[in-house]
Amino acid sequence: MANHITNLNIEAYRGIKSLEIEDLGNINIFVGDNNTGKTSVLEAIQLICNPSEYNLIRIARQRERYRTNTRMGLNILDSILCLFNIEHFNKERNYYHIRIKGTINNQVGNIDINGRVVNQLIDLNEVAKYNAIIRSRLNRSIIETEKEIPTFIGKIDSSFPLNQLSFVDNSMGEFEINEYSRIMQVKDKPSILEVKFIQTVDHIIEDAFSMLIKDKDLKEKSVELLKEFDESITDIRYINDNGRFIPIIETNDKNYLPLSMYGDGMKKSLIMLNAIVSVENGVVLIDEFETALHTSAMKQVFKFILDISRQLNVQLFLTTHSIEAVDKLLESAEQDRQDIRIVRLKKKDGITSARVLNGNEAFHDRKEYNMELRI
Amino acid sequence: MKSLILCEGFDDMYILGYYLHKTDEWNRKNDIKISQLYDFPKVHFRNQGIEVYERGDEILAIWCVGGKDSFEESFKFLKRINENHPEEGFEKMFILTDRDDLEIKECLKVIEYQMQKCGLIIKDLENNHCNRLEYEVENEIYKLDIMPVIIPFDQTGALENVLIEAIRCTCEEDKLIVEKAEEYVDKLAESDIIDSYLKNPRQVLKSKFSSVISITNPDRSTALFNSLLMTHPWEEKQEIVKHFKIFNEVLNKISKTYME
Repeated sequence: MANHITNLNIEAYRGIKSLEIEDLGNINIFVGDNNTGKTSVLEAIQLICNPSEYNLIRIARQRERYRTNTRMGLNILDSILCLFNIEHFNKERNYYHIRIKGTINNQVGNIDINGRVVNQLIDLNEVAKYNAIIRSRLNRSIIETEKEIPTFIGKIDSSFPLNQLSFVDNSMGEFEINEYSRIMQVKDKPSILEVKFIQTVDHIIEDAFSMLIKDKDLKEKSVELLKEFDESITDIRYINDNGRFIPIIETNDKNYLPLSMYGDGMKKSLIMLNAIVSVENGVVLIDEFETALHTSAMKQVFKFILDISRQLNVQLFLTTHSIEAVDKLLESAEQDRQDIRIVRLKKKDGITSARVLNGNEAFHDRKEYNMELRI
Repeated sequence: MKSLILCEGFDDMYILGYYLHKTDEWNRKNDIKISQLYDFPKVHFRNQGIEVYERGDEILAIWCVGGKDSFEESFKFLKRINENHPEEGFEKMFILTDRDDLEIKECLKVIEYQMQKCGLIIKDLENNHCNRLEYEVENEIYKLDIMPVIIPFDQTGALENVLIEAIRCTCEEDKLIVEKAEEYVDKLAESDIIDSYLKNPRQVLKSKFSSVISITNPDRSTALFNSLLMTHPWEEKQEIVKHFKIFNEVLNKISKTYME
C-alpha cells in the first residue's frame, strides 16, 4: 500500500501556528472538534505536493467555491491573505510566511511561501478586458482608469530535490495577486505527487465516473458496488445528447436515468472512486468522507475504496466528524488495519497538537472500551 | 477526581465498598458508567466485577479482577485511558492483593513486573504507601498515584486472615468462636476420611472464615454469603482500620505525603 507522505510539519498556515504529525499511514483519518484544522491539513498536503502559484490560488479559493453570488465572499487577494496565520504575520516588516515541511517518498523537504502587501498602481483598462463590472464602471466614467490597490507580492520556494521538479531552479519566482487577479488555468507545472481533493459536496457538481469507465475491470467492480444502493443497476456510462455528455445509470430493464436523479450516496461513492483511479501512485484527500453515505452502505463502500487504493498505490487522507464512519472503516479494513492511522487534532490555548493512533490500537480501544477517538 | 481500586475477588470488593461507605460516605451508583469518553471493558468471567461509588463529584471504581494473575487487563485499560483522555482518566490506583505465602517485597516485584508489561514503568514500589508515576501526554505532565496494599502486613496469608483477626480482637466471646472454629476446621483437614474438601491452605482458611461468619449469624443460614459478610461492623475493628487506613487517607488527602 501507498505511504508516500510519512511526516508533516505545518507552520503558520491558516489557524495552525505549528503542527507536527509523524508516522502517517496509508490511510489517514483526521478527527477532532470543529476548527481544529482538519481541512487546513488537507490543504497543506495539496500545497506541499504541488507548490505552484496556480495551486496556491486554487487552494485559497476552494472555500469560496460554492458561493453562487459572486458579490458575496472574499476576493482573491483576501483569500490568499487568509492562508497566512494572523499571529505569525509580522506587521512591522509587512512579512507573510508559511512553511510546510514533510517527508515525501523518503525525501525530506519543505516549501516556503513568503510575501508582502504593497500598494501598486494598476491600469483598470486591462482589468476591464475580463471584468464586466469594471468595464461597465469605466464606460459610465464612474471610476478612474488608474488606481492604487493593495497587491500581494509573493514567492514560493521548495527545498525538495531538483529531480522531483522540472524546474531550472527551486524557486517558483515572484508572483503578484490583487483583488482583480484571475485564476489562469495555465499548463500546471509538474508536481511532487499527484493529488486530488474531494470537498464535502463535490458529489453534487463534480464528474462522477469518467475515469472509472475507462477500465473494464474497474467499471464492473463499480457497478457491483452500486448494486449496494440499487440491485437493478447494470451499467454506468455517458450518453451524448446533442453534444452534451450526460452520465447515466442503466438498469436491468434497459431503462436509464441520469446520475443526477439518483441519491447523493451513490454519487459520493462514485466520485471518491473516480478520484482514486485518476491519481494512481498519488494522494487523494477527502473532506468529510462519510457525507451522504447511509450506514448500511458504508462498510461495503469503504472496503471497495480501500481495495482500489491498495491496487493503485494511492495514499488516502480523510476527515470526518462521524465515529460511526471511523468504526465502519476500521471494520472493513480487517487485513489493512495496521496501515490505518487515526489522527486526532486538538487545539488548546491556540496550540494545535496531533495524537496518532494506529488502526489496530484504535479498533481495540473502540471495541473494548467504547473509547471516544474524536476528542 | 477518579480513583480506581483493583482487588482480587468479590469478598474484597464487598468489604471495601462497605468500609468506604461507612467511613467516608461513598455511595454506590446503580450503573458503572463514569465517563462519556469511554466505558469499562466488558466483564468476561464469572469471578470478575466492577462497582462504582460516588461522593459529590468524585468517582471511585472498585474492580475485582478475578485473581492475582489478572491485574494486567486493568493496567492496560488504565494506561490507554490515561494516555488518550488524561483529563478524564484516573489519578489514583490502589491494588489490594493477598500476600499468600510470599514476602511483601516479592509481591511488589510481581506487581511491578505486571505493570511494566503493560507499559506502566515504575520501580521500587512501596507497600501501603503512595508511589507517584508521572507521565507526559501532548507536552503536559500528569500524575498517577499508585498504592499497593498487600495484606496482611504482619504475617503471610490473605484477606480472610485480617477479617478473622478483626473478629478475634472484638471481645472474649468472638475470640472463643474464632479459636474453636479454627480448631474444628484444622481437625477436619487433618482427617484421613476427608478427601474431597479442604485440599489446600486457601480452602482451609476460607472454611475457617465461613465457619466464624456462620456461627455469628445463626438466623441467616441460607442467606447469600456477602450479606452475612456485611453483618459485622468492620469499620469499627482495629485490624481492618489498620489495613484500610491508606484508602481513607489518600482518597481524603489527609496525610501530607499523599497531598504532594
